[in-house]
Amino acid sequence: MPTHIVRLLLLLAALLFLAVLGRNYVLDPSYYQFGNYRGDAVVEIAAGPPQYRGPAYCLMCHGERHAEWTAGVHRSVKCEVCHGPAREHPASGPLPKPDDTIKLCTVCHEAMPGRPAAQPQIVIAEHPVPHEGDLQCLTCHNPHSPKIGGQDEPAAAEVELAPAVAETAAPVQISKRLVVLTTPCTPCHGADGRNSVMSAAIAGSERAALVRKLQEYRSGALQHPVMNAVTSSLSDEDIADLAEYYASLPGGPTQ
Amino acid sequence: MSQDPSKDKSGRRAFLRTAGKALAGALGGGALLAKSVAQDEPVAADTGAKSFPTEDYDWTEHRWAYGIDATRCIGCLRCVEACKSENGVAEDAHHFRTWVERYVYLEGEEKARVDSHNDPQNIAASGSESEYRFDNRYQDENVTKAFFVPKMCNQCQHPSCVQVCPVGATFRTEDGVVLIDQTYCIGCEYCVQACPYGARYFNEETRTSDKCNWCYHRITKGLLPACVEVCPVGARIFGDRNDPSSPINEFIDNNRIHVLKPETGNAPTCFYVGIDKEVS
Repeated sequence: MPTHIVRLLLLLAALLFLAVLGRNYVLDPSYYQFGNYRGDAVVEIAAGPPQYRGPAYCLMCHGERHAEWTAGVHRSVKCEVCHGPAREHPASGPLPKPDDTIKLCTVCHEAMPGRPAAQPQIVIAEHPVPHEGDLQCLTCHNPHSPKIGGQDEPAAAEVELAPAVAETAAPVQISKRLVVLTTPCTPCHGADGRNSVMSAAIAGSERAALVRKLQEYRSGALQHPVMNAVTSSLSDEDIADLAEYYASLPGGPTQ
Repeated sequence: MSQDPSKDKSGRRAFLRTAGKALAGALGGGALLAKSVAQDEPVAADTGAKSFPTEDYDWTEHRWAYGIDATRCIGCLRCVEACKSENGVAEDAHHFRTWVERYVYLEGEEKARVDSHNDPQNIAASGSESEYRFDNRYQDENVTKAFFVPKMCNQCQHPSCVQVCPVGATFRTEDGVVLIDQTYCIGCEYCVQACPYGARYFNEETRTSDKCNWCYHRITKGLLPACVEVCPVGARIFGDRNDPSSPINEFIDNNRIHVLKPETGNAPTCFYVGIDKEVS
């Protein structure tokens, strides 16, 4: 064989060798471990820390809330859906309490074509009665157990609230202040104050009796989870106006 | 350039002699190196046989699959938000590992109106440039049919993205998830083009491709993907096909399921219920 060909072949062999050597040097050792990819990449990806920790993590400290939440209709909405990922909480600080509940709650509950009929949906401006301005959902609803009437009264909870409100809401003409004041009352007592299915029929009651009851609920002398919450923010003037309004309504049970 | 040919020749000879010696030395070294690699390999294979990719998780024992029940989806986008938090997806309205589309048929119209994350009205409805939420534009229309469809990477059994990757930066794992090796990705975006589902996006920050991996860091720890974890209505179902008690098997067995674009031959492992022919 001519020398120049031998040299050329030697050179080729040397280049090939260097290429193989270089490839071994550059390529990650795990590259062909399972296929033509880096096996270590799987280990690295699998090692990432989870951000959402799940309700079991929250339960370690928030037992009371957890019990309340699992008993209510929101049990399918896990803690981190509203409060955000727990991550390193509590070390990393408190989790947010959503302040704009209208914005948050309506991501699921705003009436919208495409949402399944089984999903509870509201028209914001008309819930629970037509109103103007913002009416935060937490005024009436406990986010951890949002069904009015609560989980302790399963029979009452089955009662369809919407028709009672819808039937009677329209004809009643009241001032805007009273609309806001009575908003927390209507889901249970009815817009006409005569709904005795879920709670006491208050329409046509004596004014002084209503004032006394509301004051006792506000002070905690009378215990009721919803009434205590609803009356806690009422002023004396609010109580007087509410009592006057419901006393003025015609009494008698809803048919 | 040397003008003296003899000097040039001797120089070349000297070079070749040195090169020859170096070559011989390198051959010996190479043999040693090859030996050491050969010794390394059985060790690596051993750890693989024990449990891979983590101590408590063996990927040969699992076969993941995903179910999407569009009849349950309420379009609340909690999944989209959770995915972003869990996976550090860019906080803007243009990069998503998972997203939800809305299909609306109005009375007298044959074709569905589709809107999703890139719809300006939906971005405006969120009150922020960095997210979207479905605006209520159809509330006063005569809607004959409407539904929401969550979308994400279909984790195909024959993924076209894997086929086109020139550097082996994306691959399908033994347990059925298509992953991206961010350190090997060169950002050529062939995979973004190749995916028939538009499931991949380009991350301008890292200059690499990114997409859903069913929260591989969670499922290998026995957790659910973040989107499944937060779905309040059970529209997203996840589980192991190898586990008879897994909800995914119940979902697949009790429903008539579809995959998106079956004609591509990609063989997705995301199974849909409650969508119609317009969804692809």
